[in-house]
Amino acid sequence: MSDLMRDFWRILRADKSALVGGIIVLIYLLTAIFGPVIFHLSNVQSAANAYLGPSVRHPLGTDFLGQDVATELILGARPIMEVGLMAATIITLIGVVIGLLCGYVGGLFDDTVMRVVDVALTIPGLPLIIVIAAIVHSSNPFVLAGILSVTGWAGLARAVRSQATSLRTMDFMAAARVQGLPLRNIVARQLLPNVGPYVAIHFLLGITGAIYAEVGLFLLGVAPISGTNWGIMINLAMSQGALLSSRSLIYLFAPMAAIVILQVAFVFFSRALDSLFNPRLRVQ
Amino acid sequence: MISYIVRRVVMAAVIIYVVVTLSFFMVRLMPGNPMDYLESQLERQGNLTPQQVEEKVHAIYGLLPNEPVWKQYLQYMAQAAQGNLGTSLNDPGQTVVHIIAGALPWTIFSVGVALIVSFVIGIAVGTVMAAFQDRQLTKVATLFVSFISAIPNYLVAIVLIYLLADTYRVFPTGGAYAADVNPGANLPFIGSVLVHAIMPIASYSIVGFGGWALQMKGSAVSTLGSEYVRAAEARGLGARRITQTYVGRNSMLPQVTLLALSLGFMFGGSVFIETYFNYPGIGYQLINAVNSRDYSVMMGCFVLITVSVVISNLLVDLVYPLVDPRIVSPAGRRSRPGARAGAEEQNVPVGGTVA
Amino acid sequence: MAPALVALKDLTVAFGDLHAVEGVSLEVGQGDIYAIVGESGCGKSTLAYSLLDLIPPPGRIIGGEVRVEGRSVVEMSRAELQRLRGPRVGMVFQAAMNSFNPVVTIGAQVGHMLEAHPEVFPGAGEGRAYFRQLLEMVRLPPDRVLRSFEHQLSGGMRQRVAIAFALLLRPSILVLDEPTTALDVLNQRLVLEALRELHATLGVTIIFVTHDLAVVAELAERVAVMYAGRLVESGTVDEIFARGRRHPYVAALISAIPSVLQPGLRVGPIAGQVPDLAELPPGCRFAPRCRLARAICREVEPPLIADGTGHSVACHVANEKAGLTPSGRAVR
Repeated sequence: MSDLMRDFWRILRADKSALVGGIIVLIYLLTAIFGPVIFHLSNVQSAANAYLGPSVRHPLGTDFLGQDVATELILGARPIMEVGLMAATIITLIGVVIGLLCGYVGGLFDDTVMRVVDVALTIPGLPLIIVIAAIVHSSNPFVLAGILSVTGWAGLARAVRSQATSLRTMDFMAAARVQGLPLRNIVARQLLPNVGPYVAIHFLLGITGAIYAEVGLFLLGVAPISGTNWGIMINLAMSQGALLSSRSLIYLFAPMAAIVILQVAFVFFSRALDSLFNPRLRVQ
Repeated sequence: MISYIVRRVVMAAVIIYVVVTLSFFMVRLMPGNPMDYLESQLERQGNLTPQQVEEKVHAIYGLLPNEPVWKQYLQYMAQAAQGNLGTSLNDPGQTVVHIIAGALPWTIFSVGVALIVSFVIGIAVGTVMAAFQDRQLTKVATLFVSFISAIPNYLVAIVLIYLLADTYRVFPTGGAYAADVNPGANLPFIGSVLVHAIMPIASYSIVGFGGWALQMKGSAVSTLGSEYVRAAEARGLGARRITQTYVGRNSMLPQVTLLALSLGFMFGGSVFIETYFNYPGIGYQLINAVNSRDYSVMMGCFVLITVSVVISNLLVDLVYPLVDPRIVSPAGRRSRPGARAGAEEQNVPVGGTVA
Repeated sequence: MAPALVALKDLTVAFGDLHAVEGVSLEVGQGDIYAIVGESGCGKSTLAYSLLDLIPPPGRIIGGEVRVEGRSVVEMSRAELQRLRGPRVGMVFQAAMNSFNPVVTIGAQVGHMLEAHPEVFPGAGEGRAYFRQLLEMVRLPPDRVLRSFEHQLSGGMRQRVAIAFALLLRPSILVLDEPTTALDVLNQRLVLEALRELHATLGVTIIFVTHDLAVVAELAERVAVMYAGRLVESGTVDEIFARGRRHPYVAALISAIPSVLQPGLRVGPIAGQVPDLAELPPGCRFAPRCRLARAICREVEPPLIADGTGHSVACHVANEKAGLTPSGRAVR
């Protein structure tokens, strides 16, 4: 485990983009956790102050209600990342569990569940998510996370199951079973190291996918507007004519930039994980 | 070969069946489902007898709300099979099928062209990156391409609108064609259609080509290094033949798998792109229906989007054996690269499989 | 002696700073069956690939000559190389099972070869007819093979098809890299018999690379033994296996045969390991593992000395015992 960490640091140092990506993700995480504690949005909403340009008091100007954009940006991080992380966790858990079960148990169970996985993989996730979200019409982060996970687990389940199946049929598994090694041991020592890399990468990319879908939901108004987050900011900006004047553009582009930077950071950071777990790239 | 085709077709049919069932579930059985909602709305209006409420609901959804659930299910399925998906809530004169039938061609047109564009650009870029893989430029290009593919497509749409429609008025801000043009097989109409389609297609393609490029680079690099390419060189085959039939065809194979994934993603993305460009496709109708609480249209759009994706996937699956004959026989499947667990999944598209 | 068909002179091939092949000279005559033997990593495959200028990058020839039919391969243009590969020299790769385009039929690939060298078979269909003959010579059913994809044929079948491919354009030289390694015993037998028959019928010169001494004993007429990039002994197969003047490495290999009849002679009764090419010992490269090593062995690289019959050995101890100096004449 420790030389895993050592290799990880080495790769990060070598691949600057991955390092920067990791740092950015960390910054966003900290902002999401501590932002709402430190910053508060004033309750004063006055149209007179709408769309003020950047100033010392409002580094990013104000929105159409006169509220500080910078504060909204910081506060907007938590809802987005919360749901993104939760959705990715749900996806990963379900995917891994189902994959392991199918791979290890095999037989009819495996066949039937894999058909279900195929269905989940083919049905396009976003329309389904939109429709469910529209019917359920809730802004509750847990509910949202659940809805976002509706098809995302399938790809991971398939990959984990392949690994589990191939390991199950190998001779050393039979030997391990004969020796009476507990299932736990087999899973931890054999399965996880092989499957771990793919799970980790899928987890990170799952966060990006969940954020993409989630922001999209808020953008279109499918998820009801409550509180403030980046998706809602863009939604309101577009509908309140932020495109029309150059001072109001910041209200529109700031959350967009925040989202793009985060997504890109995740993607670059995940490439370091990819190198870490690809033995050819890892051993210098 | 036959069993391969049969299996694929059966699978497609099953998925369509599941989707229609799913939509029944959402319409009827989920908490807060639209039929209950409509019922309670009508009842609250107060001026209708329970009988009339039932009739109204039936008129829109084609289901009698007080019948046992399984009966309603059968009704629903029977109607769907006959192509009856109910009528629009907000515009009772229009059937759902009519609305979505008018919308579907626009989506197929824009998504289809966008797929081709991103495919072609992506493959070209990827091939170049593979050919010059050791140069510094390639490393920079890889970073750049990864960057672009991480941007959500709706944000690209907004930027495009800002730059090219509002600020510089290069392209129209929306719609499928100009208001003063007559639809039909005439040149002004076709020209207008094409001009209006450019921005939506650009939005899909700018974000989309990256995945193809990176995938192509990866598979071209590995094909270039493979034994059979060296063996072909040892046999004195010409460079053109090697590039075409040995490197080219084998590098393209994973792309076809990617095609199936991209189809679903792009159709899903049409929801955003069409809304921002007021492009009257299925995605636009879906969001419209969502925002105006027109549940029957909403369900119809959902079913149709999914069915479109399923059928496109099926078509790709049926064509695939022509490109890679190995998929049809068990021995062949085992010998394909990426038949090993996880190997082909190395190129997970941005977003995993969420959207 | 007949003029050499293939001549290597002081060939040195480098991969970055490492010399995979160092100063190797040998000659293959017309009609010979020549074996190049050694452990994994000794440079023998690299040697074989150099004949067609097919050393995989980043390998480069940095010294010496490779001459095929008197012409230097390294100096050839692209077009000349293309005329060399196939019609003059046919190559069968290691694990030839992977040397076929997986999505095209065997028959189509035959077509590719014929279209690239139209001068070999002027008449339409002649090439395909000849290929069918070759398939029959290696005991394969022509119709079935031609219309199959590679995954529809077994490993042993693919190996033999690869041999047929290599001979299609009627080359005078056939080079094989580990022709039997990836095969089971039955298929090994088939391949060896096929090679013998092809040699007898077509008169083609065969150069093959292997680590399996049993195959050498069965098939080869002349042998060259490599160790850590250097040629340590060469001669006829009888001379190599005889108990006379021998390189200690070869002696050890041969005495190991009864107990090590499996691929991968690394794990054998020879103590120690092949040296890391990045950290070569001074003097003789085999000295650290040699029971007969003396002081001079650890200081000076032994020169390759030939005796009257052309049997060459690079070992201070063996050559001194036989009374041979670098000039080739007996000391006393």
